[in-house]
Amino acid sequence: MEGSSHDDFREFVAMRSTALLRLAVLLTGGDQHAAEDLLQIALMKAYGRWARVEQPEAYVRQTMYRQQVNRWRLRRHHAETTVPVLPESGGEAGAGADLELRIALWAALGRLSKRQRAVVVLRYFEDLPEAEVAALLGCPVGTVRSTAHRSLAKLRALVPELKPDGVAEQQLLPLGYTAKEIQG
Amino acid sequence: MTTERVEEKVRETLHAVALDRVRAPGDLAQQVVRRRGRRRVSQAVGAAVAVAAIAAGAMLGLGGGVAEQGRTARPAASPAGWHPWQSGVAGFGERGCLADGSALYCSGSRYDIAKVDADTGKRLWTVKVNGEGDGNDHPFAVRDGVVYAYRNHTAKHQPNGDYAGGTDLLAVDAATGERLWVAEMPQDDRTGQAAMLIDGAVWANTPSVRTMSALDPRTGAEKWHHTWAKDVVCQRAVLSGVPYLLCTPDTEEVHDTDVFRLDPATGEVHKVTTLPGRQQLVGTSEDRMVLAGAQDTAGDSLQLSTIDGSGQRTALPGRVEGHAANWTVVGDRLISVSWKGKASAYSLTTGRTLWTGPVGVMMPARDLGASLASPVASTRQQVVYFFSPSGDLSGLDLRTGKQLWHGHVDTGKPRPGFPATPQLMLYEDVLIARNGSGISSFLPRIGD
Repeated sequence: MEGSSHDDFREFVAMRSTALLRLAVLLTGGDQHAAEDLLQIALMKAYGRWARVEQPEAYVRQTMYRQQVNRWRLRRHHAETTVPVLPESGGEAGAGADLELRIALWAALGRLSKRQRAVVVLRYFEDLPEAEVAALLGCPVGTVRSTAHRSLAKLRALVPELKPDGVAEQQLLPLGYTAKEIQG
Repeated sequence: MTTERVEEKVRETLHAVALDRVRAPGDLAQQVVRRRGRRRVSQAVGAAVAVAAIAAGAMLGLGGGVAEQGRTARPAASPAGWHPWQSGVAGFGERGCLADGSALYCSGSRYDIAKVDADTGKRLWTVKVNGEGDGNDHPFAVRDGVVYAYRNHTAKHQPNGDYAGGTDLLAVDAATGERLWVAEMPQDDRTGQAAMLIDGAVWANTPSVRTMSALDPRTGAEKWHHTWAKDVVCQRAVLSGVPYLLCTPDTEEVHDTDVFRLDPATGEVHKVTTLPGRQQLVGTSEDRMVLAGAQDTAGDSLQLSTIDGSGQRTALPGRVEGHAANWTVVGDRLISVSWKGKASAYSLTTGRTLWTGPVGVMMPARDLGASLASPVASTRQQVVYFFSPSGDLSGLDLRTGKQLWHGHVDTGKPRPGFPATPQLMLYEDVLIARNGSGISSFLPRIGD
């Protein structure tokens, strides 16, 4: 790589790496070490094609999404996992219950598969339509739809507060857990 | 709660995560450039095939020479009691298998180890998976009635004891499947250099990433350990039961490689030699390590050399093409396959190219993450076999590169999340081909 391109790459990383790392943290369910690993892999790919990459940020984001969906194992040091905490609520009425729900939901998001979490982040954090998610991940729209559906079903099974009104609790637990285990 | 409300709660939660505390390290660009440099050298020489190379190298001692070139392959013979079998049961083979005589030890999504009778395909015993069975790993050695494998480590600090990354080294009684001991590894490295057998011990990368420990094979108790300096990376090799470290500074610039020999009984370290440049271990051939050196990080062409246990280095004349789809050391030969389907054999004694020709199987696309299985060679028949993810098989004459046999086996496809590269193993002259959870055992009809 020529000197000027090398400098461009460094400048891009300096400017955008924190934003990209935050996205990676969501994709990895809050594991910052895994997130750094994911971002490094995406940046390595971008660095190798730097002269041909027209939109570096879009390229790195897409690489992270696909990498997260395709990779079968994150190499990480299990003892060093750090999980960002949810922010304190502003003290409004009912804020305590809301915060508890968010904490439970964030924990449940961490239990989704990598593919499910990528779809959830793209749909509900990036607010992308299903067709764009499918294009980013390189899969059919139907797969995105079914993955999102299964993800929400799993979240409902893991967080009892999300259950549909009037549905018996036992019917919502198809994952082999009992309600007591999940709440504990 | 309605689906719309659930979606809204998910949105709120994702946006409420305290990401403002997350900051990228200041030297990230430098880390990326350095990591990429290491990876390119590693990819060029196919470090992942080192384990297969060691197994094949130990198995074969080739004479070679002009007199043998006109010979045809000997007829394939099946072991007594063997008959062809096929298995497609999900859960016990996706991660890979190890063939050891008439036994096959496999790992899959449901079992960390499943012992299979290689004669019949019948399952003998299983060790249930610990957490998720999603690794690219399989039992890596069997010795003195003990099987050594990996499993996911159960993190104690996680709610419900969920898997949160990490690996255990697992020792199991080969006769019964009874667990003997478990040792926690410091990272998820399950490649060929994570743990190896040395004289009287299992030499494993534990308890830290910069430490190799000799563990008692029956109890897992530490006999000795060796830790190297910070900012140094060390490759590991074993020659005739003696452990060696090849160490180089962990920097973007290319530095020389120091070779150390460790006493397998005490761990005492002796510096053997210093090699020029960054050397990548390709495999071992009898009592020699086969190394590929790249003077830059591109790795387009590589300088091969061998080094014996005393540090005697032989630089092979000429350079070989880098970025191969597969590299394997077979006796005195290095077999490489290019992504365009060209197989080449190089002599590790003279450095000369012995033959080049079509590998005879459909090559996978380079960017799909899959490659050919590591080739295996039949000692008796002098045939080297190749297996592609498409199910194609090819047998080339090890002496001339001429295709003697080709076949096809439908083993299915790997499940998403599991290794996309298939596996080929030998049980005497019988081939065992695995792709995903599909396993086929059959006799290639050569020389009939």
